[in-house]
Amino acid sequence: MSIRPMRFRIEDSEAWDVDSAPHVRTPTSASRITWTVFAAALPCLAAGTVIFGLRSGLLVVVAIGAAAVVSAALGAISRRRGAMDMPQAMLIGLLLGLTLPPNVDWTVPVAGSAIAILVGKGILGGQGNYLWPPALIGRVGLQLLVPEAMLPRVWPILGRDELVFGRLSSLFSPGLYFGWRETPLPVGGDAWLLQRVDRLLAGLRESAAPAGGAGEGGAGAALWRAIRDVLPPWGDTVLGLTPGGIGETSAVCILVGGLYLMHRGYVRWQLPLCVLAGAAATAAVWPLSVGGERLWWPGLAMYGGEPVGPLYVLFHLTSGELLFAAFFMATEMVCTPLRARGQILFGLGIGVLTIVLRMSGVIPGAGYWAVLVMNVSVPVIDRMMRRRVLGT
Amino acid sequence: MLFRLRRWLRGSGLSGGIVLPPQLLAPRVARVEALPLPDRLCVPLSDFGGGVPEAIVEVGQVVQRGQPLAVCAVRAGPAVHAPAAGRVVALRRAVSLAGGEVAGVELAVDQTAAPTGPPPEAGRPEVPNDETAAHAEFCDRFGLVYGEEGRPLSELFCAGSAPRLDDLIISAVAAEPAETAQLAALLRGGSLLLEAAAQLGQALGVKRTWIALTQRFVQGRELVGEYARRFDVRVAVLPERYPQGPGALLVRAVTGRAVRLGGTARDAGAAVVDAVGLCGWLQARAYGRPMTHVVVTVQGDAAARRVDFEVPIGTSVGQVISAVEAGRPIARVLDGGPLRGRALRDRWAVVDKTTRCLTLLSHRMISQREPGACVRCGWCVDDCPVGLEPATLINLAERGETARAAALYPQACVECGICSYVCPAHLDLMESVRTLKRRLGKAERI
Repeated sequence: MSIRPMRFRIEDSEAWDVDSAPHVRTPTSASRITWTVFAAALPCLAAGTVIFGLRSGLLVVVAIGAAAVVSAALGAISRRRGAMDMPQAMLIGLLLGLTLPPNVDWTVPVAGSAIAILVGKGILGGQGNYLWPPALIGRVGLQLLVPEAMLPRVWPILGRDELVFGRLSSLFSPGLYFGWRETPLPVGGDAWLLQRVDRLLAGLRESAAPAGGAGEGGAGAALWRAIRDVLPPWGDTVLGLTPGGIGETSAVCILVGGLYLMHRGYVRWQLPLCVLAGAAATAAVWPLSVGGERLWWPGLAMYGGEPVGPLYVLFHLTSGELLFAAFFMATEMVCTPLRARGQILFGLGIGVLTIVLRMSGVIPGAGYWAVLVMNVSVPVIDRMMRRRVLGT
Repeated sequence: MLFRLRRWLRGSGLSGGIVLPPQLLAPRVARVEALPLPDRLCVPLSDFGGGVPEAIVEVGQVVQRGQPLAVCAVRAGPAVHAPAAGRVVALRRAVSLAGGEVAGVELAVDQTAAPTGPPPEAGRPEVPNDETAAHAEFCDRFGLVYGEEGRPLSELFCAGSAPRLDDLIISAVAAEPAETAQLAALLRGGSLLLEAAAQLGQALGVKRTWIALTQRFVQGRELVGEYARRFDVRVAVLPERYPQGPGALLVRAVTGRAVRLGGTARDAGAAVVDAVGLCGWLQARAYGRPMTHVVVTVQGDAAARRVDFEVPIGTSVGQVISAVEAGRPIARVLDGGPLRGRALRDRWAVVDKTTRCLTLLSHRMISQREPGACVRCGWCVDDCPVGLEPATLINLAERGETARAAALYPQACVECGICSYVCPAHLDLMESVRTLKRRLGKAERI
């Protein structure tokens, strides 16, 4: 009895491809996710170009290009897997560019992109391992490196007849400012120099009594007057017609991009929602001292039938870098908790910290610092929220 | 309070799974077709727990359909029978679907014999009434094997010190959604199969007999709904998600009891028998026919049509494939479906009692992308049916930190492949978890 395998004809055994399961995969890939986030951030770039002029749009393009070049150079000398991930480098450049003030020198985005790629992505962990979003590392690196360029006291914004094509060089500080749409520019001027809304809000914390006495109506009325006199109309902050970073100001555009990312499933809805919820709750309970009067629970303040408190909270949500941080910086997949439950905690932390840092901190860019701080807690959150394994 | 909070944070462990895209699902269930009888069969003498069965026929001997070819002599185990009448040509090795080679009996099929042939033990066989040992002997004599892992049906009867069985679950839930062999077998068996399920439940002395199937197959649901009441078989309709086929998940979904890590369904007082395996029991009980055929789904984009064949055991994969007209050029052939299937090396592997599905894939379906770096999207964690963290495990596996990985219970993995399927970085997550599992198993043995 001969024992040999049952093979009839050699030529019949065709070569079949052999690999491990699974043999099919989702069409989603990391680069597709990256490009989708890139596309979702483009409305912010468009809004920035309109509000702050073509030159600021060009700054963002410079940031993207610099990130691509630096990444290619890093890829050439590094053998690390994914060192030269071009879509991701360009996304980092775009996100970094959108956080810059609109009138910085063109060397600033170049330096920022270099920091983001070399330090944020290259040194601090590398592809898929970094603790902080590289774009944020670039941004806070710039803040420490060139503070006078990154943190001016007053910020420019184009006037209402000078959109897109205006120059940010002929600037005017308004004497009386009734809001962006209502205030005409002086002849020959292109842009306003204004204070950022989040700085104005922080100023409300300890605003002194006006010269004519405390006024009537108590603290609620004082807050109402502050909102009317000090802050721009709330429609301006929602549309983005307030000074700030190139892509940070337009709440509408950020929401459009962010909702699209949620729709695609690349951002879990829990995370931005909890950032906003945490921020709203903290802003609503953070006591103020407006017009010399102490105001507890400012979120509940009403005056003459006007919802002063909710309006005040809305200003907090739509001003500064909070929305951009919530939808584009905090949602960097590598730096967020793995599970939705973890992201709830993570998001709440960011929201609370942003308002705390904004109201009582000394560092501008509260939203970004809040994200950086919470990123450190991600491993702890992940360990806390580990799923129970079936049968244990 | 803290304990409760912690439990909420960690979840119940009964989430996960995904709804697969339609191209990975079976569109409908068709009738079972008989595969044209091939000229040669190489019946594998597989080891299902009783040692390798020893051939009791000689070269040149003429055998009838259903005649025993090999029996387990040393320990009790399922016997092997001739799927068709013919002449024993050789005793040689057969290429097993699992990759290696096993002893086999090669038959030259007598095509002139009646295709169904008279059963060797005409009429109803003597069925033991209550003695479990007699039941086990009956199952082995008729070569009954169930499940894709291939367990002898007799092992359900000889429990030893294992806990009592409370639930018998007849599973028509396919291991993969593309596979319809189980449902086709269920629909073909109809009321007889349900009666057989009830009888098996009685023989095992279980409290409840269940039939588990997924929502989408309304046809099957009506059928079992009508007859299930008559035979006191409960119907568990599961949502249309993947995966649900593995025993631990099925026991959890149907009875609500968790199978403890490292244990079997038996430890949770349940037994899971698949519909094709139950068909063997039905044939043996009702007609005295041994298990010589299995229902196998042939599908995939390289197959011209999807079909559920009744395949004689010992048919080579090549013979099964040539029975469906070729569609696109075949690049890869899988034992199983596209998510869990094992790629076959050549066409000489033979169908055995555990084969349920053959998938033919063309180059278009096969993903050939390079793995990137993990982007920590967390999708594998969300979708894992048993609550593992494949992203963390692959990290630990790459660094060789087996001891730390052990604290995350990689042994719980049911190898459904969903983590690798959803991974946007195209990491071989399942493969690395499986490797960890093996490494840990070895460490435990030492």
